Amino acid sequence: MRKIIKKMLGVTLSTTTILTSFAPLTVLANSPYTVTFTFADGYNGTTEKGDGSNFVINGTNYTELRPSKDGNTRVGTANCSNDTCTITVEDGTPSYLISGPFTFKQGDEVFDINSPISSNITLHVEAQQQNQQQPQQPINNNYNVTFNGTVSGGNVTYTIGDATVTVSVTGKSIPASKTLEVSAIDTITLSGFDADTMQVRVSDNDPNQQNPFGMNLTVDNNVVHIVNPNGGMPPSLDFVVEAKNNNNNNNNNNDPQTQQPVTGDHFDGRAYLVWSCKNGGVCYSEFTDIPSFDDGNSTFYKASDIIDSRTGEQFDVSANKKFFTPKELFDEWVTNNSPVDFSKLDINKLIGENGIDYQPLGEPEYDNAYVSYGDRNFKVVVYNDNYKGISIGDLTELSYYPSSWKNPFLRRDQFDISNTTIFKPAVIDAILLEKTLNIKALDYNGFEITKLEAIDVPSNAVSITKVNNEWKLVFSSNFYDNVLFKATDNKGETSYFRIKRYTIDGWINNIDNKPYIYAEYFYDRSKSYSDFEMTAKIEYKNGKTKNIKLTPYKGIDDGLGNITDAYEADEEHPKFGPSGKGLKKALFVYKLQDNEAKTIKNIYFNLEYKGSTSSSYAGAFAGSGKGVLANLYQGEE
Amino acid sequence: MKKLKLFIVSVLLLIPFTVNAAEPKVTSLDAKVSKNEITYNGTMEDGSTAVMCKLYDSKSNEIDLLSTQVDSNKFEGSFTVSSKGTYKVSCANYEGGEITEKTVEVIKVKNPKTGDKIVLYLVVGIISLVGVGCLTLRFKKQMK
Repeated sequence: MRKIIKKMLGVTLSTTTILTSFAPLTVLANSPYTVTFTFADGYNGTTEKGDGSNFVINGTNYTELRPSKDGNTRVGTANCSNDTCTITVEDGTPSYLISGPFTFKQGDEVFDINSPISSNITLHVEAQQQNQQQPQQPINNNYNVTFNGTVSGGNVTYTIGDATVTVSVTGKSIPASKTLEVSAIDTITLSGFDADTMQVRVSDNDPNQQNPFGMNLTVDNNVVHIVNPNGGMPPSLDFVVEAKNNNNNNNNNNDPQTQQPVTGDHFDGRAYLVWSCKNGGVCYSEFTDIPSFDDGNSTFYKASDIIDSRTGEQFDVSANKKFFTPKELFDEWVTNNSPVDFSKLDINKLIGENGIDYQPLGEPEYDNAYVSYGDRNFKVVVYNDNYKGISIGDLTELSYYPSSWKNPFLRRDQFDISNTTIFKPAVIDAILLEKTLNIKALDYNGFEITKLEAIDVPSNAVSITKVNNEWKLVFSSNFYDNVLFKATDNKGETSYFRIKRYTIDGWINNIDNKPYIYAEYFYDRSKSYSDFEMTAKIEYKNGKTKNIKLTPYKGIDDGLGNITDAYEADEEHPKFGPSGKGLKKALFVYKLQDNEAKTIKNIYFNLEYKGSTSSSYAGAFAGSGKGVLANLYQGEE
Repeated sequence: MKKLKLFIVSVLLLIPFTVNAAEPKVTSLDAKVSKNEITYNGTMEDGSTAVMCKLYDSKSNEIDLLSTQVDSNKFEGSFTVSSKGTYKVSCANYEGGEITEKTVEVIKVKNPKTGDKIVLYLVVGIISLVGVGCLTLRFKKQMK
């Protein structure tokens, strides 16, 4: 497969394409020359492919060829004679003596430097192949890919109609943030994929991108790679598995015809909400001033104010099918298919050809609200008369949040608690360390909370006070990490929501085909991962149990898919992307026996402070009852 | 000089008791055994909202833990064990503090159902059903 992709690309695909400048090269007789190795951003010669031991230059193994600490370049001296140069790269200890002609090798990938030296130039490395074409622009082989499905145990699932497609990246775990650094050679496997009815699409997730990008990927035996034969793939991508577009020729290209509609700054606020009419046919209503998502908050519209342009029918969020589509696309479709009889039109035809409404984060479908991310152009909530919205405030009110929450689409800013019961409450995620939360009733439909109570916990577990129009909740202990609340509103009706204060995310997945238990956790930046001890209780399907102690793992995902070569990642200083606040993140692991994973029923994690003695307990940080229950996933077999 | 030494010794002696001094303590702890279940209950000083209890075997190996809420200064919980022997229930305030222990003796245990014999039970069940079916048919034929 890699060879095929290589042919498609015409350049190397390996993450070892460390030199990304492509200045014209000529062989000069005079030497020595200064040679500058330019490394791709984020390259670290010791962490590529996991072990960093297989970077080979002319048969010599180098483990420490990496950029200097000050930047992404290394400077060496080249003494050349015809096509043969000797390059000395010094980095204190040791210094490398490299004799040309140059062959660079990492793993199975071999590169050579063809006549590489000119005066004080930047070197580049190319793959060995025939009729090699010089690319016109640098190729970024590493992409921050956001998998817009539902994360479970390091994989992501997409629901397409009645089918579920599970997406996994071999050797990697997709974090809860859904964003993972993926290289062109990473194998992305689709389980449950039907090539006849489904397609895989990648598109820009940079709203400020001037030339929005979108293309379909070729699925070969349920495997895809993040590659574009035409080059020019942006560094940050959304990855979507979706129903096949009937109008799509399924070619792998970035032809504007197959690109997604305008995004971010290009979004002009104009769109149609299209829905299936009560008595058949298609209804639609034009919006002319939808704010873009810049402030990260949702824009609210009352459903009864949205009227079908043709019949005057009011929109209802319970409509069987509904989606937003850009005005120009909709108008163009109508023109191309004119005359259109909307009273008999099948809405599925429009969805297939024009729909832009993706729910990348799996926003729940509320009974009385329709939430649309408008393909990341905007965040809109359309609400019915019975909608009861609450929020826990914006990021400025929080002391702790992970970097992923800076993405306006990775954090919910409103929750509908209408039609909830004590057995089916709305669920609000919060960070465990955030001891104080402010619950606000959103002022739509005149909704007010007049009384708020915590259910099934002692009276001193949560302090609840009303300050102006907000309810201030103060949790007395990290033990209370899952608390149910009952809200009575100004109509005398009751609603329920559960606040899940989380810090540990546990699952099972494979490293090099060996099963491991993973447990990631957030903690205060003033602490170190070494301040904590992670234990877990494994419950097997046969009723037996085992207590284990997990060990720190070097190579932590900072939440944005950036793998840090350290035991902890600082959420305030991620390698790429926006900063979080107040948190660090670490990963603990435990190696299972080969077939042990499938015998496990449950895993409960507890995170405690180190330093207990026979007479004094250092304290628990996270875990209540038996502990935090893992989101189990039986990894590859 | 003697007074100084006395003062230093006094301070040193106090240090262990000042660790977690602010944390509420367990004021009572009782534990009972019923077959393979160890149940415990206790009381806490004011200010505690949760307690962490751990179970140790006779070799001081931690074999289980359970954190529970403290309501009106009271708490309770239980552990299930799979073998008889001496066990120690050890409890402290959830956020840390002084540990209080209670030792119990488990004399007899009831092995947990493992599901290992499920196949055997299925086979016996199917054979029984077939047998009952055959007998019923034979009985009906005889009646005719």
